[in-house]
Amino acid sequence: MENTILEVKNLSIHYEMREGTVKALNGADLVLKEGASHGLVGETGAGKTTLAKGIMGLLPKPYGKIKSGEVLYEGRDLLLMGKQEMQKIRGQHISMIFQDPMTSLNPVMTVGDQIMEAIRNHEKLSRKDAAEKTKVILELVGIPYVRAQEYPHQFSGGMKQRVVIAIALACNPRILIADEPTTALDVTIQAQVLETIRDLRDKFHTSMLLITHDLGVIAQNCEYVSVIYAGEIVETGTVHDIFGRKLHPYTQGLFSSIPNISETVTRLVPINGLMPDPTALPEGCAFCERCKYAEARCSVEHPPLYDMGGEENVHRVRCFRYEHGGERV
Amino acid sequence: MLKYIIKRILMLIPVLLGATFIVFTVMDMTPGDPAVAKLGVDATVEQIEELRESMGLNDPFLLRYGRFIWKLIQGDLGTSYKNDLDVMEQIMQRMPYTFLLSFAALLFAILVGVPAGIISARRQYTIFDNCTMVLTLVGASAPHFWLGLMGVIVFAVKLGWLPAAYSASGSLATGIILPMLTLGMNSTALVTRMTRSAMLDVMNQDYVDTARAKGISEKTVVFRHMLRNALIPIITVLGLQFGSLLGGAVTTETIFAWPGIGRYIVESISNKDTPCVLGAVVMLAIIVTVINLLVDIIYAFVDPRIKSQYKSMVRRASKNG
Repeated sequence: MENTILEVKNLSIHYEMREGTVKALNGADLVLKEGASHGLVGETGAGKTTLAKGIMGLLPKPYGKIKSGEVLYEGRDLLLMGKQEMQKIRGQHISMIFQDPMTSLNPVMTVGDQIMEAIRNHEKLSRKDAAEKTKVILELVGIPYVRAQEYPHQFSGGMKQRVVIAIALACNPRILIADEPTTALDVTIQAQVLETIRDLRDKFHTSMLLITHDLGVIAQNCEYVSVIYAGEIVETGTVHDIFGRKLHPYTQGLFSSIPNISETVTRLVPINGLMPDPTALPEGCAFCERCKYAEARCSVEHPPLYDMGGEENVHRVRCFRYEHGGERV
Repeated sequence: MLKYIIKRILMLIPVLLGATFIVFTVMDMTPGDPAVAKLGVDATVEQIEELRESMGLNDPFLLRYGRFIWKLIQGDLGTSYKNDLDVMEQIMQRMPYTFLLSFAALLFAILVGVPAGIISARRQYTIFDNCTMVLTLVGASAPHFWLGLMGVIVFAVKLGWLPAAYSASGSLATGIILPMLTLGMNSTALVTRMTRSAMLDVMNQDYVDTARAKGISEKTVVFRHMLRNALIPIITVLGLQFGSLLGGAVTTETIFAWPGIGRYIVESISNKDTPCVLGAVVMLAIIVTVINLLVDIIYAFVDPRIKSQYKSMVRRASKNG
């Protein structure tokens, strides 16, 4: 459990468009432990998907630009790899599940062919063997093999997401990046899909980066959590660190804006205001304008991450309030 | 699927009635007398009147139109006013030339337009893309007669590389180049633009990311995942273009003395040879309808969603019937 399999260091990604530069990711750090599941939580536009696509090398061209940082996979920097090397990594070592199952399958290819394509791309298998493997993986995600001949439009949303999962796990990758895999699904289907992912992860010992804005999903599925805000990690730690201590004002805001079944609260407390415009980020703390603890220095000085110790000594928080309570990293 | 095809073929009836009625009316209203055209200007008034009577030209308009339709149903396109030759036979002699020219132009449009569109989309807003967009704008707006004449001036008169007109003794291979380019230019430009915009639409789809995330090569992503999905609008344009290519053949064939059906129509119009014009229009209308039907059938093979739509249409129809 202790070995790091993927490490993102100081990753900055900007989208340079005619209208201006969108600073989507600003020096994000992330450590993914082998076999573990790491949740990445944040609101829409915080840079979650950008981080995932940055790791995969799938940033939209020609706007997406990596400004700084490293993505270390088994000690090698993915950002420095050539096209062909990266093609070998994708699908075989690191796979990704996208947000909307309705649009993530090619409408003019049978689902069987789409899974087989992933398999035959990385493994030298005959059509027959690849079909056999397709059958196995389809049945693992709970789809009978007879349906392999069908096209995506003949499947329901939940079934499509199962196919997407089958594609992602077809080559038994070591890391799975799931970008809001259940956001577009019904609640009942969400639970089923998450269970499928969980079962397969247990079976294949796959590490996972689970992107979501649903704290409940994180609590059920992850050992570690990072909270992302305006393109930077504001708090990271084990699930117990984050759910138990909730140090960063933004994390506290996230928790008070969801209902708690054990407390009687008449009104939920939203976080007032909006995330800063990513084309014009403030000089100081990005959360400063919405923060009830904000001081004068918060608007001019950028807070670093402070080491807060915690359960596995991985709890870090980016807020001046912990300047004296934690050690600066 | 079969029911759908039959339904589409039945649609041909109103199309033919409309097209022939318009052409018949226009031919009737334009000045000129087929009897004079046939006998020459020296003929006496009595001779002309006699011929008009025997050709049935003095009958009321609707009677003449009805007679034409009645014969058409029997598969008879009549004979030419000018030389009494069978219209169907004349058309069949010229049809291969028009088909050859139109298919060559269409092939040119596909072979140049589709790759140019793909490259343009992949390099959006680069110099290549901007140049292509300007060129296609010119190509799509330049009329055939201008392109044809410019082609003749540059490549036939100034440079002397290609023949200025078709001649039965000359080589067909070199003779077809200028007419093909002239006729195909508009279609090439439109196909390029349509391919580009269809590819741009498809490029940002999530399934393209899914395909890339599998780690397959960029070439496979472009051809198997992007192009196959971009094909529907491209095929639509190609189908429509074939119709306008047949129309464009009228001017192009006249410029290059190409012995096809377009030039036949022009000659027949100047001779007031109504049966020939009508015959040619009927043939062209049938061809365009059949091509459009073929395009619709091809859709079903390219896109499984459309196939199941056709199937459910037939299911509904058979339930109701």
